[in-house]
Amino acid sequence: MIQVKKIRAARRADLAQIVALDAAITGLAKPPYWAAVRRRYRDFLVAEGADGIEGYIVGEVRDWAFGAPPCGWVFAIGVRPGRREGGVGTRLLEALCTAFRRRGVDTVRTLLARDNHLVLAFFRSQGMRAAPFIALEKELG
Amino acid sequence: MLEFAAEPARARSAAEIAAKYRVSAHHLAKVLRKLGGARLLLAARGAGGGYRLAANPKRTTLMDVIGLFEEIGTAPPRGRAERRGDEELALDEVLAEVDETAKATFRTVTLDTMVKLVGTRRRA
Repeated sequence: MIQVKKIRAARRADLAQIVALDAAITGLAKPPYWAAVRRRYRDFLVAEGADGIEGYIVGEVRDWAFGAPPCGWVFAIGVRPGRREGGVGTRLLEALCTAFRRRGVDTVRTLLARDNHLVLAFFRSQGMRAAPFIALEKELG
Repeated sequence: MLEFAAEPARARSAAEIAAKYRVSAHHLAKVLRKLGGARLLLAARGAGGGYRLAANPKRTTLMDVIGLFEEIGTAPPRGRAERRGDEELALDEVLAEVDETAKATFRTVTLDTMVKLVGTRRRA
């Protein structure tokens, strides 16, 4: 298990580490995006370890999104690549779900690319299953 | 594989598993050899012998196992595309969508997740 000192709300001072962590995962550094995420989302949590930020999670409760009763949505989760399988993601998701429960919702959802096997496998390992929705799209020629 | 993933350190023989699931020990031995060849299982030496898990259960998916024995998905019928009607080709598109969803599911359910799921069902 990775030693996580605490799960807490993301601070402005964390943004540089979060941007670097996201860039290590996605290959893209997006400082303005993460600054906007911190301003917009109430549930933006980080896992603080001895060496800094080990991971983050972002979500919010949405009312009647896609016609569904209020539920919690997870928009992003990231764990430092060398620190995976150590329980960091599990602690982050548990903390977010606790926050969602406090707001009176009993369901958590997320949406991922079908080929994002790593993160899909993580959410499934946490007991999440296919939701009763189908995502559709088409190219706008 | 779920038997092995539930207790990764414990070696089990083909005869033991065959008896539990009432399947042919001869056939199961072939299956275990294939899983061993794919490095998902490790042949255990010593008294009793048998196999134990060699793969990381948090990173080994149902697709890793199923893919050793069969191809998931509907292969398009043989023959040049121009010989097939638009109806058949349109149906192929729909079936391909179904296949991709099935593959995505099998590729993201790990042995560890399956062991948890089995445990949850047993406790229910």
